[in-house]
Amino acid sequence: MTTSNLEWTESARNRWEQFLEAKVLADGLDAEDGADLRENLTLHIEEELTGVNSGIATLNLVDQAIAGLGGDPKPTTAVSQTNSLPTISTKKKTSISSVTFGVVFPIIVFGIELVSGMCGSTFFDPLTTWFHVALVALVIGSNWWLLTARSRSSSLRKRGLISGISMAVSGFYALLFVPLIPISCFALIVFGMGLLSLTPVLNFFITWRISRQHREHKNSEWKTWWRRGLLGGFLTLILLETPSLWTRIGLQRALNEDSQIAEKGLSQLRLFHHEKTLLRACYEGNRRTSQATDISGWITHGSLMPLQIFGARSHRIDSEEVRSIYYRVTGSTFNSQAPPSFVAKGSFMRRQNTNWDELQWDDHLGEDQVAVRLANLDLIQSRMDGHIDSASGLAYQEWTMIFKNDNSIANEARMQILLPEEGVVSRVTLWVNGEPREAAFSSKSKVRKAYQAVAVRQRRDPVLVTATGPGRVLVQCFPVPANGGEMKIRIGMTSPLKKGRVATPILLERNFGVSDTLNTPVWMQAPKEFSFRGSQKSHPDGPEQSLQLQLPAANIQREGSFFVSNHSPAPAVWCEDQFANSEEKRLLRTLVPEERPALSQCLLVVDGSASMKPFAEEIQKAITELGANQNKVTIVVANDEVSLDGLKKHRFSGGRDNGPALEWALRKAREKPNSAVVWLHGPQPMGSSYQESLAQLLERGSSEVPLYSVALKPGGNRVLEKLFQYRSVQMGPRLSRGTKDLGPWLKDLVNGGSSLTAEWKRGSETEPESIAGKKVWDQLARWWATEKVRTAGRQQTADEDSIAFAAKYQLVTAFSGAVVLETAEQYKQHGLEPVDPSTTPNIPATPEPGTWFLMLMSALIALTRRKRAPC
Amino acid sequence: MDDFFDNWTVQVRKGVLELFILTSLRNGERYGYELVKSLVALPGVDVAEGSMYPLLSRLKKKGFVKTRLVESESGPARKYYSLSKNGEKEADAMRSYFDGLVNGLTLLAKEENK
Repeated sequence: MTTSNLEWTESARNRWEQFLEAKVLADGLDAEDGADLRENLTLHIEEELTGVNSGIATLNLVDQAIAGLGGDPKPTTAVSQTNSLPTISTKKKTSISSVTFGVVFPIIVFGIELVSGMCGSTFFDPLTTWFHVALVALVIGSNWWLLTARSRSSSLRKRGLISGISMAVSGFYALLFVPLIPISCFALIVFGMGLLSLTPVLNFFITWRISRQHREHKNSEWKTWWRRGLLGGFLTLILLETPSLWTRIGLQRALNEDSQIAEKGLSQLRLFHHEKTLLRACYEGNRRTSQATDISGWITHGSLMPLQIFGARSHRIDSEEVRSIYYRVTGSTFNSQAPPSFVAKGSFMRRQNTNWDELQWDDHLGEDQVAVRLANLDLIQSRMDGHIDSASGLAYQEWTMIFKNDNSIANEARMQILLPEEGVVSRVTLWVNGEPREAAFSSKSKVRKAYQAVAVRQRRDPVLVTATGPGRVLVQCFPVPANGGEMKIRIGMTSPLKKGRVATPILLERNFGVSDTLNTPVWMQAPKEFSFRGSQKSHPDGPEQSLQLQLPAANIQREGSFFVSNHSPAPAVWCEDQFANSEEKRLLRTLVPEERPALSQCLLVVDGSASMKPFAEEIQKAITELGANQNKVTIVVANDEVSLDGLKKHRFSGGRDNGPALEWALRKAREKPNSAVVWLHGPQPMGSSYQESLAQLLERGSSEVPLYSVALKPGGNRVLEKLFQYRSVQMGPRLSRGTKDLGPWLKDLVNGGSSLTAEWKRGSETEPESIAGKKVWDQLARWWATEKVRTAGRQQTADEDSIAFAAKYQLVTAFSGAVVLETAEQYKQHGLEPVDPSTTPNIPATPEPGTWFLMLMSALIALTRRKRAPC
Repeated sequence: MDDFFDNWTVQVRKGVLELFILTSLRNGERYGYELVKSLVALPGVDVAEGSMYPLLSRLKKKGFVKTRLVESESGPARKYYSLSKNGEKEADAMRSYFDGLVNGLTLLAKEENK
């Protein structure tokens, strides 16, 4: 044996001698050849290790050198040296722990999570997508496979690749669960449970050990493929998580109190965002916690949760702010999308057999927002009935709806309804035990208080209708009974005919489902001919006309359905006003021509949100059609700021804050008399920080600038909800024929022209009927009252007289609402009085044929008597 | 197919490793570590380094290879290997035979291509 400068540790020397002995034995050499081989191999390893590690041969270095020579660095017996197959430790103790924490426990935890979503409902959802499920299943499967003898006959590259992927995935999940180790240990010690959340971490160590066992065999091929697997696993996880993480980071920035950072966050999300992550974040704050998030949410903020034990500030998501961001980024409301779906259905549940999207999410119960959409709560039947009276130029429509709730708990159905143009709700009915109950009309706060007391606390049957904008109402009904229970309501609406047209009401927002197959039968009647959309004509029905048709589900949620009467209103009409005293019982309306001058300027505020993109060309076209007067129009694009660069240069994206542009336009309009602001917009699901400023502009100053709201795409409008009590805020046209209606309306507004205006008079009930023109239905009185409430002052007021007036005429206005309660006792308890059913508006009944015969006979007799009289 | 090919390559490697060692030493004297590393690095010679030394011992025993040990002050001693006269003759004969095999195979391949 030669000597060198190499220093050997004792363990290294022992390992080397062990290897040499085994090698000589395995090669079957005699003493002389064996000595020669020992010398040669020792010279080899000394050459190999000289200069490495300061000339000290450690156990690790010797092991590596032995592996390079093709030997087993950790021989247990001489026999194992000769085995060409991978040497997997078969010690009983090791196998049991490997199988337990590498396979059995992970399967149990995996199954529990898939079925119950236990972790998902408490901390984060580790199985966010089916890809995540597949990756976790791969780790368990590969551990099992690598532990079995069958894997030994597979190629090294295959084993290396799978082992590498498993290491990457198990390492990733172990890191995710590391923050929970203190809690898990605590739970394990105190409660004897907590092993479930420790399993991913334990699994990682077992996966690592299994991988090491296979690596022991040798060689570079294993290493290469193992590294490739590891890299592939990490790349897959990065690909899976990067979009979500990008979105979470963008969201955190967008929620920052520093407005500059918030704007950058918003831009980041508008550039790219993961829709599902953003939508999910809209729901997370509902639970008043930062937890129950997905992996990206856990990485960005949830994982800091354990620090709260040590007094760290908790991170809480404000749902409203996130929903606002969602709108600002996507341009659509979060509740216009189906709720996000999850692999583990229970990842948001707190108790078994309860879907996450049931009541626990519905923290808006009894409040004034439509909010999240609930699964299994549906509109199952819908019908509309109406009457058009061309003489009075008024229409009355009733919308009857039946809701069904298949959830295991009672739910509240909520919706915003867009009424016919300038319409008002004049009747609300709820069926209790099959009997119709009429509403009580009172102040908005009083009816809401009664509703909340009865619905939310006593959980009995009420319906609440309150106004949320010009021509918009919020309808709430609770409880729609659980387990297939139904609830039936009816909303009656009075509205004027605008150029002979009246649109059907539509749903703007809803928290319930509407099946695509749901048809709404519509019945419309009138004394004279009319048509649906100008094409489907009415049929004679006795002495009157009627039309029945079916509206598909889509048509009760979008513009396009309207009735047209080509008969002009009578110049003078009157009615019996049942709510007036006897001296003023007769209400007379005379239509007189009025000349409206052309506007001096029109500030056209165009919402710069994504929802408006399809209308840009049509808007431009409508302006061009103004001819010479188009120079009076200033286009103001609302893009979170004020842009006067025109529509062509603007990129419609996300949901824009229209506040700054409206504020600028209202101020600018004051500079010239006879100006108007026209606001063309899509849905405005989020309010504006400029709302108070806008209210101030509408309330103060000597000039009153009209602000016309024209919804090119119907939807909720939080900005209008705060402003519609001002007289100058008016509902523009219902664009029943799409943007075709915009041009003529704008032309009429900007160019001016003649129109008819109503003059009202009152008379005693003793006055002869013939002096007051044609007698019409009492909807005329309701319409008079509606106009009086709207135009009496610059701002509708919540004083007792105004509310009492609106309540007397059974109207839902800015400060009055309607509520239907279940019992007389409940009404009494809340100081309310339901309306007398005999005073409610009705669809006028068509007389029976027999009645017509009697009326004809009476007329003939009267005529005969008159003729005989001179004799 | 894979198993057959694997076995075949093992047999071929086993047969030609000695030729490779002799041919390498035909170019001059080399010490063991250097010789083994250079041979193992050759494409297709997929053998563990440790399995070369028994072959060298066998060739030495046959008298085809001579060795001398050179001590070093800075590093470990080195055992240099060189061909004996017999070894040179044996190497030439083996090479000639192997070239004949390769030529025969080449001819067959050409006929097949026609």
